[in-house]
Amino acid sequence: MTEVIGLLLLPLITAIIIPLIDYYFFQLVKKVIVISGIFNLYLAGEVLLRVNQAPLTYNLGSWGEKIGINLVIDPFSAVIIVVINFVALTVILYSVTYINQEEKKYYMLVLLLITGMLGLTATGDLFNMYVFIEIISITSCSLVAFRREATSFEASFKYLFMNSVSAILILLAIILIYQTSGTLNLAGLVITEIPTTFKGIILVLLLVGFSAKFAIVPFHGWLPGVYSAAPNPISALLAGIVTKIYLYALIRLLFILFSIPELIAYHLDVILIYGGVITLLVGHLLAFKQEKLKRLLAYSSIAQMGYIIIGLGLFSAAGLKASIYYMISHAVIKTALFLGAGLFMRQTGQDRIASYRGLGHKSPLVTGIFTISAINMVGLPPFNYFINKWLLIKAIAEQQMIIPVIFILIGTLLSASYYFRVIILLYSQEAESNKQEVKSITWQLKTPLFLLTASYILLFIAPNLPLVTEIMEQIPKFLLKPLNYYQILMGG
Amino acid sequence: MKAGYCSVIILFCLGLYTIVAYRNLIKIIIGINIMESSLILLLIIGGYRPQGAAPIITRPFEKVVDPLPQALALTSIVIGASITALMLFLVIKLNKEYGTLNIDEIRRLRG
Repeated sequence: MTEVIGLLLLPLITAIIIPLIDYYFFQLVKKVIVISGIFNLYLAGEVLLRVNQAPLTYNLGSWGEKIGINLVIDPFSAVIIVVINFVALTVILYSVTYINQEEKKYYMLVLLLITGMLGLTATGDLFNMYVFIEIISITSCSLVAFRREATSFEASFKYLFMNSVSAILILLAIILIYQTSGTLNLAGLVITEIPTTFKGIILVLLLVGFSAKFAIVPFHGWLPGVYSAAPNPISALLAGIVTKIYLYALIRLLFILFSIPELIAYHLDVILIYGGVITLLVGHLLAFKQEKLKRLLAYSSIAQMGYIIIGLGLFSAAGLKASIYYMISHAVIKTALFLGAGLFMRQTGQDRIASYRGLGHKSPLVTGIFTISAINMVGLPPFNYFINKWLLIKAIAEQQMIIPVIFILIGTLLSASYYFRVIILLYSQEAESNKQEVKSITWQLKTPLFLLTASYILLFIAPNLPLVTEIMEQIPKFLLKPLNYYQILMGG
Repeated sequence: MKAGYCSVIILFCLGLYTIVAYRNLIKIIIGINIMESSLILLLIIGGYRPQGAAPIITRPFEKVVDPLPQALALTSIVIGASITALMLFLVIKLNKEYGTLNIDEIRRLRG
């Protein structure tokens, strides 16, 4: 019980007491933040173990399940919470040495962002979901503008504009849901029926509102500018988990508000699968001609969202599981790639791919980790992404569809072509005339990369671990059969 | 009631038009604010009951308006205010960096 609320309160309280600690014992600030991150990861693990037995609930203010605001953690949220805490911990460890200016504000915003994301995954109330979405968008926009340069202000404005327009659409959907059903409780919404005339409008509003936030193709324009203008740890956070959290919210709402036959009657399966195919093709093709490493990574993450959407569009237990494995692996790998790109920028002081020529000979360790992550991202056999792709293709094949499989394979080839361009450049010899010295990197900056790389091995064997298989078996039970979700809170 | 819903739709479309048609950053922020206010109006109208009293249970009452949308309206006003503040901060900074408020001009200067 207390773990659930502790999980949300710990980053929030840490964020609030940072200025106090900074005022009295300023050398303790970073230690406190790192310890709170480690402790929160421990709490998340504890929650995951308990949720494996039975889903957890927490009643805020003891108002009762029906009228009060609840936190509900089912297996899906528990898995996402562990991923958030792990990625956030590595990003915090990285920031401790990477960020040198206005640290107090930076850590407060990062911790509030983490609180927002944890709240969005744990909440069982529709309006709370909206509030947490706005907390995430305000903090992430301020962090994008953190470098205080002209480009980052512009990117931040673009991001904030997109976020507030899509939040207005989501709010409109929430108001319509409340006025037609009379409840905001997610569990209560499972059993109340919304009139059919409103269902179509609500579906469109939610789909457009959320897909603008996680950058599906017609709405992807904001993403590369934002990722390349933000400080590196923040791009890692945005690409790694923030987009996944919005997708989490959409998945949760879709299955609670609509039954699967209804979703298929609205042709949502076709929209999601072919939207995903178009997204991955556009993302890969645009990534191909990028000159800057961070923009390349940003376009690649647009493409990866396409794969996840395809798995979701199958509306089957296997497709959903493949999607969730994909979300987890992409969160970890993209974070490692962005953090690695940050180290290259620190070493050479440049952001163009061409200026990283020959870096593999000067700092073999960092380049090696980046190379492993890039090969992993392409989806070549010895790593975890290959297994995800395999699961996804198997899930598609179960439904006798062939076109998405072909495009997934084409996408793999495309991503191989641009990632190998970078890898080859990193390991090729530098011209004698413009040899430049690279700055050395301290071990503090390398540790998070090691942690992330170690997690690949764990994720590689994860689909066969007993704990993971148990949890993964339970996820579709609560998502695809929302009556089970209703029973978590209301019993019976 | 009908007039209320009509004004919500008119305000929403007006906000949307302002966002799409104008290139000035301040006017875009105003457009977003108009859209948000229309939704807050929609919330309040949805909670309205004819001849309903204020939802204070200690007083004798026959019929009260729905209190939940009013709480939600307050929350969304606060959120809207903070988003507007952040947007205006960014506009001030953009104006200092580029010397203009026009989106196309900023895009051209950035190159």
